[in-house]
Amino acid sequence: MKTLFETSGTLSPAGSRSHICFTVFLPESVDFMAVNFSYTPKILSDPARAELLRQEGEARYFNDPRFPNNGIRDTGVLTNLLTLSFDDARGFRGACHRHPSEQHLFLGKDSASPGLLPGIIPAGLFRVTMSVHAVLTETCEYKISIFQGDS
Amino acid sequence: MDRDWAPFELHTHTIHSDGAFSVDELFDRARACGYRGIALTDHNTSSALPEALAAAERTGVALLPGMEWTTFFGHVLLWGDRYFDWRAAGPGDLAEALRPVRSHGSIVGAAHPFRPGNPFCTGCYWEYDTDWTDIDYIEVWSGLDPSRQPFNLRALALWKNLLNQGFRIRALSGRDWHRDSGGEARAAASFLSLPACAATRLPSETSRLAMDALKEGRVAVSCGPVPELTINKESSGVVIQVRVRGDIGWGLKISELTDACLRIDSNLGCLSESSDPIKGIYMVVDRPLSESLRWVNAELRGRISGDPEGEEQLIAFCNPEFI
Repeated sequence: MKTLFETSGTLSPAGSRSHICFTVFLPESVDFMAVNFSYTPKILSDPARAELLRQEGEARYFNDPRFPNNGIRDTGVLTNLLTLSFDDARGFRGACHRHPSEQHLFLGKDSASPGLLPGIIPAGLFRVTMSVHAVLTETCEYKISIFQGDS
Repeated sequence: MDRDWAPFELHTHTIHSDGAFSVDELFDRARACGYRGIALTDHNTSSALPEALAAAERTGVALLPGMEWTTFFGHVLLWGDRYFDWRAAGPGDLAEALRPVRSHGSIVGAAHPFRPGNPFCTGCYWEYDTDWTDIDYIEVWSGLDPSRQPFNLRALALWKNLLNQGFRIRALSGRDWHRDSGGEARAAASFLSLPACAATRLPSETSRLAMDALKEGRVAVSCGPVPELTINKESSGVVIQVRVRGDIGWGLKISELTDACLRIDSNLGCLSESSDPIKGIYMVVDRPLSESLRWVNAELRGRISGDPEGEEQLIAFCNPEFI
């Protein structure tokens, strides 16, 4: 397995609602690519901060007095959400909009992970887009590694 | 031509995004639930399409291809056979992002516009600066037990307000089906008006007819019975007829309703209200042409027998006829 690309970094809540793109040059076409993606923490475990964010959200979304939330509160776990999508030199290669904070994806000539579009990855610029839907924790560490391998 | 109301689920997800169903499982569940067809609207990808075409053939459940743009500023449903990039739209750029979508002929819907967004459901709340002529449908009913959700009541009010402003915008229901919830909560469906005998058609043909129905706005939203509206303009005035179709065989039966009430609504407000549509299930209203009547729709309200809450609620409504 040859490492084609590797990056890591730290996000804060101010990074929410942004797309971060990494553009990688592939000197020759690739038949199979594995992508490891992880971020941590997933869950906002500080109860005081979670309650604050819930109250801010309720004030924002139930801002029309004709439609109150009737005291019904969403008390589910609050989480960070980062997702990946891919574009090769010819166009879109799919997106993995899902919640696990550790994902092992593959993109191959004949098959690909759900969400991705199978096919050879042509030589040229290959773009990874990390969509930062929400960072709720004070910091969130992410890591992306891409390997060229045999299917 | 005789037409049938066919129950469709227009908002679904699989493991190609964050759903729990494989494509085959989704189609099997859809068949078990009695849907004539489903729209596959995975978040931000169209990768399930090849599998879904095969699953539709296998199960006889028609497929409407689509996707759900899951952006930071709102979720946008696209029904159509082509992928369009979801990453370019900022809060002020929706019209620009939708231009190629609309010129291709895909149909556009605002998904669950008032569902709370971050930190609860990322991007779920509609924040786009919107030219509503770009939007064909508002998903006014989202999720299970939809008529009781505060965010759906607000979506319904937005829709009626836009109709009163003159926008020819339609409403539909989407379950936003990600997994089997296992609960007892009631589902609604979007009922598409298809030429009769569609049940014997190939799924691909049903799919084509369903896209036509969606394009033409021939959709009703219901937990089961469908109020059907007929408008005739005559020299004396506008004749509005409503009958409730309780013979569709999906979901709630008319016999499960108590205190049912059929109402004809319009830009001039309520035109007529029947306190006992169950027996008559028919209403005719004649309005003078001089009135500035612009749109008319019908809704059925009532209590569901055996419902522990027992409250009066919206059971069904049809899309408007524009005068």
